[in-house]
Amino acid sequence: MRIGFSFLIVATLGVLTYFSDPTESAEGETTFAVDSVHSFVIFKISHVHVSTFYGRFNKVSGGFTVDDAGSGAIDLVVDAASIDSANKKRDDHLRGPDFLSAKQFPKVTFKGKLAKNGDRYEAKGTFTLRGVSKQITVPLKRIGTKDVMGGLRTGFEGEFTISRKAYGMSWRPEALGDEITLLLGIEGLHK
Amino acid sequence: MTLPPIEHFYDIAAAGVVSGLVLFATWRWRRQDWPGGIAIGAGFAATFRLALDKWPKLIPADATRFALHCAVGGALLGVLLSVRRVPAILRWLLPLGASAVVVWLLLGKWAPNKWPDDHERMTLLCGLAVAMFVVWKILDGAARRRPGVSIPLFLMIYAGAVSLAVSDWGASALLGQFAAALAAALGPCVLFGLIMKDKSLGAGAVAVTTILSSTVLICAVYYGELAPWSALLFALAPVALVWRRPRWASAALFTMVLGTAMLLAWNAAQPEEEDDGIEDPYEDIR
Repeated sequence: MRIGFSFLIVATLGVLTYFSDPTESAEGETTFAVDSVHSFVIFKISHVHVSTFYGRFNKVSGGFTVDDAGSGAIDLVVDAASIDSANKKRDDHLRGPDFLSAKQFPKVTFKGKLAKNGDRYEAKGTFTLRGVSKQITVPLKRIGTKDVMGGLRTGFEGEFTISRKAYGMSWRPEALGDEITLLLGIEGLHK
Repeated sequence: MTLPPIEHFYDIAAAGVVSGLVLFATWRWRRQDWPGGIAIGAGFAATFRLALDKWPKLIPADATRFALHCAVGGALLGVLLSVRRVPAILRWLLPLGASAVVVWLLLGKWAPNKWPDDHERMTLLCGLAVAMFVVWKILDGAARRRPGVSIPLFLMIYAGAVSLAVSDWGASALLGQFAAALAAALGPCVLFGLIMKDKSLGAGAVAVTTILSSTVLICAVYYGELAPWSALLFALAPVALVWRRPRWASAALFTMVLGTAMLLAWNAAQPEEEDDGIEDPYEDIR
């Protein structure tokens, strides 16, 4: 009887372990890795004060965690050299010392806390660009969560504005606006 | 990259105007060796401020912003080297130390990203500092032996050529603008050379010119896209000014080295034909 009871406990633990998620904590926190193929960072800036110029970064990585209450952490890394403005010569210029100086500062990063506020989410943390770190808040919208294409996926999108001068990119103020708007489209795949 | 537009011309012209004003204000000391360095340093500072719309922090986050620190330091060092009572040993040690500091400021902090091997890193930093020092001393000697207009004129052409190569083929219009500011700031020195044919460029002007041109070339290679061989030839070009006789040979060699450096920079910047490996689906239809 004693052997049978022990067996029952071991078997129950085994079944629970099998069905439980090792990355999900006791508070229901789920960890996601950024799906680089389906994540985007797009920027826009005023060009000679007559039009809006758009470009993108092609390599986004990192991850984030979200619990049942909508809180969590976020850690995004953008490869500065992956900037893409659909023109190779301009891309070289954007990677160079006049703008991103990607050889000196290869990564653009954002690391912070995620919080839910009503229907909206908010990421507060440190944004580092070109060796300058500043505290920013990024309003986010959770697009959806679905078990699809190889696992549980969830996605956020958001938009925030920075001053390029504040991050040491003050060259040619007469030709380019000071405000850079960054649009994030981040898709995470459950790890 | 395109040539700087008209707004850049005003920024660059400011270097010439400020440099000229400083030389005019120090006319009383025109026989001294220091006003040239102060004039070029002040001229460069004016363009730096206008081009970037702000002064840099005391310790900037970005290596290229150390250009102003280098210019100011060079001008002050030029004043020190112009004092006649400075011992001969210091005339060698100060430029050597300054070369090491400039290279360290520009590459030391960021170098670990590029050279994971410490030995390789130190070798390169020391090599660059020694090379800069050698060019500095050669230029100093050439300026002393050839008073008048020739050396400032050659250096103005030199800075202009560096500016063109860096802005058009080195992926940095800003660094090109820095070199153009140096060329513009040397302009009034050329005029002074025409007026005072027996006066050499002076230790101050040589110090600032060497430091600023080295700063632009180092940053353009390591943070921009300027071809290293091109930068090496640019760095060596002033050596051609050592020969005094015949003058045409010195000028021809200088022009040839500058021309080759520009050709190399241009060639390295030409886009390679990309083969993305995707077959053209319309090939059969055509």
